[in-house]
Amino acid sequence: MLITTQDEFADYEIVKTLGLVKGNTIRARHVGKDILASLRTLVGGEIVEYTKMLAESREQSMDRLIADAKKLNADGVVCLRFTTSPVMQGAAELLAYGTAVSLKKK
Amino acid sequence: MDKLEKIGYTLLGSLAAAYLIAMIVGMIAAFPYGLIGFIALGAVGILFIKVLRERLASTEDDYYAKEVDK
Repeated sequence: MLITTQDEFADYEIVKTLGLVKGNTIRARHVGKDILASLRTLVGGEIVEYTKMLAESREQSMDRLIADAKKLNADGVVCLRFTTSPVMQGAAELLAYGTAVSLKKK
Repeated sequence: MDKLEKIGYTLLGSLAAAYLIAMIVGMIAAFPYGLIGFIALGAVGILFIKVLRERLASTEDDYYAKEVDK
């Protein structure tokens, strides 16, 4: 599956627009990691627990977006965007969305 | 998970278990009014066991936790 944040692919022509595809997830770390993250705010620096959490969220959202695109028999996804919203303390939704398209090599 | 983390989690877990036991003993001592808290604790405990079993059985969550780094 070809994916881009651009409106089009350099080597492919869009022959059909299939529609909106999306993938989302809401993840949290366990209470021990939350305590570690809170303690890191006392000393400063990267909160690696939440960095990993959001990285996992991005991967899972992308995988779900790709599965959504495959259901439409898409060759690629253009205009990929990520958005996030807080749900509760220590948990955030990450939504990946884009437009599924059929492609032809230029 | 390094050694310090394991020690920290073990201590916190032991503290939580001790606190829980103390709560249950207190609720039994406060019978019959302690039954209200006892039932609430039991209900929360059952829901916790449910989510724990679902998490342990989730291969999808295991995959992302193990394979994805920062």
